[in-house]
Amino acid sequence: MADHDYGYTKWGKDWVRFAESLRQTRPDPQLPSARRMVRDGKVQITFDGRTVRAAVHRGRGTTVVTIEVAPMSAGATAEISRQLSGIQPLLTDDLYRAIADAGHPPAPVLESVDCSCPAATPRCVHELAVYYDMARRIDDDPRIALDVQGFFRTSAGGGQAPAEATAQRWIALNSLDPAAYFTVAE
Amino acid sequence: MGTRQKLPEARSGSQATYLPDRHMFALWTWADGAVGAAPAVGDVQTVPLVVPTPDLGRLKVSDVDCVLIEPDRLVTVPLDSPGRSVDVWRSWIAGGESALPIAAHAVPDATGVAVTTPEHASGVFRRTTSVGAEMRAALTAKLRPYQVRGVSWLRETIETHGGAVLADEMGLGKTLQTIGCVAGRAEKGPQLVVCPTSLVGNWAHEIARFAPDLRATIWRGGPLPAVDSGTVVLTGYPTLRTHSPAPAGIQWSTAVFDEAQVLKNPRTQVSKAARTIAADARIALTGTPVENHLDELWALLNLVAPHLFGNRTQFRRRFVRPIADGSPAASARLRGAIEPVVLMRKKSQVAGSLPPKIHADLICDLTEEQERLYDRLLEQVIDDGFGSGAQRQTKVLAVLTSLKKVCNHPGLITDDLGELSGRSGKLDLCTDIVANNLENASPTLVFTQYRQTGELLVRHFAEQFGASTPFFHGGLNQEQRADIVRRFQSDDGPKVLVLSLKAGGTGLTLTRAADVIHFDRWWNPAVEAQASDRVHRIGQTRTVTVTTLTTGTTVEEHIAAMHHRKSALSDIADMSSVAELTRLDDDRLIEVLRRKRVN
Repeated sequence: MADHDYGYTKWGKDWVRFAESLRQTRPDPQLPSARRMVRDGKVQITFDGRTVRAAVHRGRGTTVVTIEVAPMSAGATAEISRQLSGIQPLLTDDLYRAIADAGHPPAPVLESVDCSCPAATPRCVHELAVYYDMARRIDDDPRIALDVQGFFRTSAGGGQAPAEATAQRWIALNSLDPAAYFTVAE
Repeated sequence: MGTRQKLPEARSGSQATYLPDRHMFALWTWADGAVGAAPAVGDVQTVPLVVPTPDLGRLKVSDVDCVLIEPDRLVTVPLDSPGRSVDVWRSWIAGGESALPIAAHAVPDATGVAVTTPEHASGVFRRTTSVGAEMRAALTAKLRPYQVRGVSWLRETIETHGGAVLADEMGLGKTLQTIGCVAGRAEKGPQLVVCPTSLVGNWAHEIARFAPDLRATIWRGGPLPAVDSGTVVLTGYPTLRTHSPAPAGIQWSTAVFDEAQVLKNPRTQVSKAARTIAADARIALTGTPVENHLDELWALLNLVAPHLFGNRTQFRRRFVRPIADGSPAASARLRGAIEPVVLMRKKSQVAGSLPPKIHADLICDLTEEQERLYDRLLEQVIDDGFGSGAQRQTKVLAVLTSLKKVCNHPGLITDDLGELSGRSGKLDLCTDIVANNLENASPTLVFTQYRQTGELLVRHFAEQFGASTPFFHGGLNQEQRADIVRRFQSDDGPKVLVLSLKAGGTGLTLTRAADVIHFDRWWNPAVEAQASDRVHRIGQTRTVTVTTLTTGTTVEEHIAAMHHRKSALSDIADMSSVAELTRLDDDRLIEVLRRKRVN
């Protein structure tokens, strides 16, 4: 695209690719309106593990798009954990390249895409809008790209014990049991 | 294992949460399924902590009324029905290693979606405690707990990332913490400190005072002195700019950049020179609130840990633009992203560890113009002699006054008052401090003994900051004085007020300011203290910072030294010190006044 408003990071670009496939040869008239819907804040995304649920408002109606993302391969998970090695740098483009060069491109794979709209076309404008909104969110915070592939869930439990000096700094709030708040779970 | 229904009544009581950044404990209470009033053992402040929801079904971030105490006090502080978190931390202090409940490490991250891990909390506690023991042996000063944490944080961050930005608010002792870190790295090779020229002398002074085992060498250009382990080379940014090949040829174990906001523009010569320095560890120190200057922040991050943050364009798109558009999520994300390499603490956050008044005694250097003028005046005096009798006292006083004026600004003697910047080390340093306070929205009082110096300061502040600064001096009538005080105390009043020490030193209440600068030194410490108390009075709720500016190697150092001897006796008549000087014979007197050459 002429303007790189969406997908200016490599992490976000993966999601732009779902809308703008490299194989696509003809311009898709739905793309500009999908981008406009994102710009106007018509897409509201919520995450539930590897499921992306989006309410897309257009005109008077609201449609619901549900996207299931495949879990990241064990190889990619291990490679990314190795690259991050306990510390928490920003997920930069350089890091993306390093992971891809190691043979584990972190691009997501979609298991299923479903939209509640009655459109007969294989790809509806709502779906496209969700891809762009995902790209926008991931540009802002690339951790989402990994999170939506289940990276933080799988790596939190398994994996090698972190080195002493780089003991894991944070633990996700929703992975803690409130019952263990005041006492240590025996 | 209890069931959830039983939890609320069983878990009432006092809790202790370790705050890793401050090396302090937040004490709070839980009662009837909610956060209760803070224990009555100190001043209450609110700290965001992760606490359970009333039904104990979930955890959420909430502002909790806490009392912050230092680790030493946790053992003895009286608490009602101390919870498990208190017991566990008390056992850690005694050397035990029991498992921590969530309450003991319930500090949330910037985005509010994660909690400090128990491994991190206990690891920081253990490492900081051992660094504290080490620092007691290595430094002659006793570090406060948050300062010990500063040293252990610098070490950890250097180890993991190769660089760190220490952005504590001014007055919290960044220099001292850095010296603590530098002292611990002395055996790893030579170390370099780059700072504004006017602060080089101060660094030398503080290193000699706090870490006498380090060898500090001032480098002002030319070939570098021989450096080896244990050596700390001190230099100014201008020297670095003009002589950059020399330090670039050495592998330093540590490079410290003080007042690193100087390097905010990566394209300047001095920034380029800074980046050519090869160092195992880079430390940037800054007192300006980095969150308000994101481009500046990027430049610092890029200097200390270039591999962690992408290029400038991405940084702008990801943080600078959304934050400028007012996105609170983006600022939380930024805080989360920089947290591994930036430590910034405010006085209000560690107030429990601070005395109500912090004294910062800074040594500034003379510029060449000041040195020449100072020496010339003194030669003149040597030729003329001081005379004897009553005339002698007058003459001594006159000489002292003109030498002190040279220290303030050479233009006060030569009447060349065109361009003011860059000619007086003291004025430049004072301007930096005031600029910093303006950034932090901290109103500041500047005291001077001389009417002419006061006018010069007013003019200089107007030129530098475009702000009109009132001048409270003896020439004003009662009405004008009351008006200045009233205006200054109002919320949108002037940000800086210049006062003459004699006129403004007593009686006034100027508690809107918590920062005081003494631009020149007065013989009697009690007079300075009384002036400082204009802000440190009833109604003052913040920690007061009193900064004195002393020009190194000059008669001002002699005055400062007398303060240390005298501060116990506050009732000495102002002039007795001058009388004491008058009684010295000419040679001894000249010796006192003459510049002490360093190096």
